Amino acid sequence: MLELNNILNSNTLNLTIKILLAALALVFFIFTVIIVSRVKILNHSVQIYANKASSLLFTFAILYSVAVFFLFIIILVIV
Amino acid sequence: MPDIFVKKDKKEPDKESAESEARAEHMKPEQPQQTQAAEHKADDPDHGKMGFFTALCEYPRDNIKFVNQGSEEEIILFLRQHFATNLSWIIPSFIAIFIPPLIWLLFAVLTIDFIAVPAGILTVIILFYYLILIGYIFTSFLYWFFNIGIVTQKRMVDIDYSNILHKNIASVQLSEVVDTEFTQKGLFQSIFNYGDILIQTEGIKPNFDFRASPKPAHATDIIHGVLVKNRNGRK
Repeated sequence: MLELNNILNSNTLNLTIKILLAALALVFFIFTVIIVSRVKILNHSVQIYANKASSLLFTFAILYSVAVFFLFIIILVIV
Repeated sequence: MPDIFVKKDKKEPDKESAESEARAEHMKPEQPQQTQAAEHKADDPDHGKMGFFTALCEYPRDNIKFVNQGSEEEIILFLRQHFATNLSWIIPSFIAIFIPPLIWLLFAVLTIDFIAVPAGILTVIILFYYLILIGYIFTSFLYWFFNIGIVTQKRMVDIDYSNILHKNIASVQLSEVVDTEFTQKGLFQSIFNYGDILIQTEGIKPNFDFRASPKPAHATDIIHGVLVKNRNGRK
């Protein structure tokens, strides 16, 4: 366990994990941007419930995208 | 002996007048779609009301519009997959919510040292996990929400959204529809009363299908009624 602790606490591994997580977060953020654009297009195709439901979904997609972006920032700054 | 044939003559409805009435009924112009929709709305205040999770709606009120909809085109039937089809992602997602706390509990019970992983990285991994889970739930919901079938008095529109990068909107004129049928198979479809509606089109045009439609018999009836009305209108 002590050895594992030493390996995990080593700077090289921390940096590798950090870069890996940041890259993952970036890919994930791109994915959320695609979701936002897709929801916008679909909302244009079918306007449901006089746009109330559609705008709700669009707002949620944007909030989700912002949350993922914050995660990316957290990985870069805090970790 | 009373003469039964003489007395009955007066009470029996006149054959000629009955025939003329039937003819007059036949000659009556068909009520336009708009009036019928208005009648439906007047009969029942909840008729045509759409909720967030509505999967089948006859004559939805004016709160649904689709791309390229004509100004006089009225939506007669709005279809989506039955909500029960969402259980295939709701149940795994619900279980997945509890996986990190369960792992933490397991590690605590087995007294495995968690301090080995830096706290910051652990937090990020957990955040990552839940954001991916939310993403999965959201995209699955969008898939259900935007997979729509619409029947108007002129055509049928099928909006397919199979994944985040694929969207397909197809429409077919009612005059090109040959037949409609539905299939209900399996225990799940029988319990929740949903099934696939297949709409056969003329010639080389691809067939239409509204998958996992709720109350498929009723929906097929409505579609069939619209088709008959459309054919009679053309004659």
